[in-house]
Formats: sequence, C-alpha cells, structure tokens
Amino acid sequence: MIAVQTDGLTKVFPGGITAVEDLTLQIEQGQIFGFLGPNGAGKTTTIRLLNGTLLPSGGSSSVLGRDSRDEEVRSRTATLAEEAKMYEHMSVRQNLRFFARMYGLSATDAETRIRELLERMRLWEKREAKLGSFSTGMKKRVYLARTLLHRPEILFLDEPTSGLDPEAAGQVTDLIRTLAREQGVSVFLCTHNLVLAERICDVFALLRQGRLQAVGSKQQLLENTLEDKRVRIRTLGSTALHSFTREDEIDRIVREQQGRGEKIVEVQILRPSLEDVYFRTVGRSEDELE
Amino acid sequence: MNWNRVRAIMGKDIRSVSSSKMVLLPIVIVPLLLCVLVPAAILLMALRFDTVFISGVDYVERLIPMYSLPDTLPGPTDQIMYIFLNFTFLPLFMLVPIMASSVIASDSIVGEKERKTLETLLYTPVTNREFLVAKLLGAFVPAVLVSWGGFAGYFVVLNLIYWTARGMLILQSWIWLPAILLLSPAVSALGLSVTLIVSLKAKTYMEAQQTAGVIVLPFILLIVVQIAGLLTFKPLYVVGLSIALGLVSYWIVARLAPRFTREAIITTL
Repeated sequence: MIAVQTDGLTKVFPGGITAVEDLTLQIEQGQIFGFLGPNGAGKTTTIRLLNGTLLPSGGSSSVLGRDSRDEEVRSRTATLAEEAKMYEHMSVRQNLRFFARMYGLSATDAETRIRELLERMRLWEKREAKLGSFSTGMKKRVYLARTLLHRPEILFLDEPTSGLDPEAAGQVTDLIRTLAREQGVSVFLCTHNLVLAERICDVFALLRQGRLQAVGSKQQLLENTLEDKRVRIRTLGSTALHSFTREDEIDRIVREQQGRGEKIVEVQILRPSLEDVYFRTVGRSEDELE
Repeated sequence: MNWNRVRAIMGKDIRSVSSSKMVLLPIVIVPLLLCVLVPAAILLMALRFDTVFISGVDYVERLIPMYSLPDTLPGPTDQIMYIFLNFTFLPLFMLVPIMASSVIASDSIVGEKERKTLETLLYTPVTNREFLVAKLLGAFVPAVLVSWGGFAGYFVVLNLIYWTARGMLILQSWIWLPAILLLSPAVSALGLSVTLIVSLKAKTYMEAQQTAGVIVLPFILLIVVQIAGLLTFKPLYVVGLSIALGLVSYWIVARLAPRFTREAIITTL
C-alpha cells in the first residue's frame, strides 16, 4: 500500500524562491523513508506540503490516498518539526490533554493513552511538572509522545534527534524503528544526520536546492552513484589508496607493491558509506564548507 | 465546525494569559486605574475641595446646561462630577475592552508565533476557520468580561463614595446600559479586528501591541471633544456608535478571514 505519493510537486514562495521543484516520489506503508539534504534543501517545505500546511504551486501530493490538503490527512498523520514547540507554561499532562482534544480523543481514551506514552517515555513521574522546566531531551520525548497520541499511520519527523545527547538520540531512534516494524507506521524522516539515517531508513532520497538528486535503498544508491571502489595499503613507510572495479584486482595491486620491495603492514578495503554517496550527490552545504 | 477543538484552544489561550505576568498585568492594572482609582480620586477631591477652587472650572461649568441632570444634585460641583463621571469619562472606559482584547489577541496569535508553538497547533486537524474563531472568541470573551468587571468596580466604588457623602447614587444615567451591553462588546471587537490585521505582519508580541495601540487615539479624542463642549454623549449616540463599530469590526474580520490561512500564518513565522 502506498502511504505517500508526490507527482511533480513544486513550491515557489512569493518573491520567486523555489523551495521544492518537480518532486516525484513514492513511500510504501511501514517504510522508514530518509529524506536527506543540507539546510535549505527544501526538506521542511516538503513536510509542510505533505501535511497540508502549505499549498503546492504545482504538481500534487497524496497521503494515505487523500489529497494532502484534506483535513483528514492531519488526523491520520503527525508531524514533529525541529522548531515546533509545545506550551512551556503548562504541565506535561495538560499539554498532552490539549493535543488529545485537538485530535478528537475522548477524555477517557486520552488519559489511558497519555499514561501509556509517558510510561514508555519514562516521564510518568514528571507528568505534573511544567514543560518549561524540562531539559531539551525530555522535551523532545514529550513532543514525541504528542505525535503518537492519536496513533498516526504516518509520522513526518524533521530532525527528531537534534539537540539530543547520544543516549537520548539512541532511544528516539529505537522508538522510530519499533513503530515502523511493529505497528506498520510509515516514517518520513528529514535529517542531515547521516549516521541516524543509515541506521534506520529503508529507502533514502537525496535533495539539493529543492530538487531530488537520487532515490533508492542504500545498495541501489551505492551502485548507482559510486562506480569505483578503493583499497588502502599501508606499508612501513607510507599509505596509498588504489582504485579497483573487481575484487580480484586487489591481489594484483598488493603483489605490485610487494614487487617494489615494500613491506605491507595493512590492506583495507574502503567500503563506500551513505556519507560518500551523500557528499558525492548533494555536496557540502555552504554552512559546512565554511 | 468542531466546537470541542475551538473550546480547547480558547481554554488553552485563557490559561496562557493567566500565567503570563506581561499579559496579565495590563489586564488587571488598566481597569483598576481607569475604572476605580483615578475616578475615585477625582470624586474624593471634588467632594473635599469644592470645584470652584479648581483652576479652569468656569470653562467646565458652561457644560452644565448642555446635559439633563437630576434635580437632586446639590450644587455645581456635584453637577460637574455627574457630567464627568457619567458622560465625559465614558470613552475612557472603552480603553479597557480595547486594551484587553488587543493584549489577549496579540498574545494568543503573535505571542504564540513568537514562542514557536503555533506551528505545532497548525499541524493538528484544526481547520483555518476553527483556528480563527477560537482565537477571536478566546480574546473577545475575556475582554468583555474584564470590561464588565471594570464597570462593576466603577459602579460600586464611585456610588459608595458618593452615597457616603450625599446619601444618593452618582452613577445613574441610562447611558450606562447601552455602554455596557453594546459599546463594550463592540469596542472589544474593534480592538480584536485591528490586532488581527497587525498579527499577520508582526513578528513579536511587543511589536503587535505597539502597532495595535494606535486604536486608542480616537477614544482619547472623544473625551477632548466632550470637554470642549462640541459633543454631549446621549444613550442613542452610544447605541449608534456601538452599531457602527460592530459593523466596522465585522467588515475587517470578514475581509481578513480568507487571508488567515495556515500557509499565511506559517510563512510569517
């Protein structure tokens, strides 16, 4: 079943800034879809187009078989945006009760669900504390609880681990994976955290300046993007990188080096990572270059 | 229209107002000053020191024949106080609903933008219409209640002071009936609609407040015009003014509502 589909989706803001251009992609139900790109690539705009917050300038998008602009899309999905916050003057429970009402949960359902989620996030003991008194990591867990209140079928997550320490980021990552694997929730994950993406995503899309550069599984991206493989040979005096296309060439490269009388200490095949694909396809953002 | 969502947003906004000193203080202090402390001080001074000793009183005394006053008022001091407290200060009271509605609306729309919680709210299934109605009612209802509270304080304190001194009530004009029931809600609506215009552009609560604050100027002008003797407030004028302001507010909101989309709001974040 198709969870998300876009066809030539385009967004041009007043002033002529094109944030997303001719985006065509498809996400299967239960898939964790990594939407990768540097800052300003158009990731957040894409999420806002998919959840119906922004209207497209061209093309179309459908979520769970409905036009993104349909109110029902927001009832059956949830969005966790990097900058979007909750009410700091209200307690955790008051916040979740408010959002439960917005999603149409009955008071009884809401109380049961809030307890279940807060216990899962290990925040039940802190339920009456004001959200403003929480650390970034704890707030993020409350935000996640908010997104899960109404049991969404699709999660739009924009940098869900930003600002978290490695342990908290790991917990969030595990939770996303569990939701997708055990409950069939589709996840549209926008991030520039390539390590996180590589750990949990099934399919990756690489975006640059609003345009889709590549899409596919990690294996497909590696095969399509990086033709050459490399081997690093460290000798007593130096280290050298050699390109090869077939693995049986490694033996020849090593023998040639030995033939020159060099003592080989280490031979390492450099397997390309998602990061290699990313930087080759998308390049480094201006921020990163600075 | 899902009224459960509308009520949820209204309740949340009222909780936000009551938890923010920056928002709550003007809502408490302004009515207290304008409706109770300043008028009470003026009345007490007038009763203690006869107005004939006040500089410029001759100028004010010429207003007396312009109003129909109760025969029971003992002298010019009481007659002038009756005019001031029943008619001249009336526009001053309109500053309370204007201020309250614009402060609450600024906080609930622009303040929420500033605190970055508006985006989260717009990602829920709330429709543009429900969002707008909730934000308008969430500011309108408390603003009218605050202004009625101010009126109640004014009536109780001023009448009590005058009763103690003269054994009769000083606030007894029929003008207060349309002022409370019609003008106060109409002025709240005006403050709200002006804040709505500002909120589409303003980035911060303070910016919204300062821009929307311009709306108090016509009401100050109404006080000056009355003291100058160019206008005497009558109940019918108050009814007319209420209808006019109500229509202007409705026109502004009706014109603005289609522009109040989640896209417009989120792109000005």
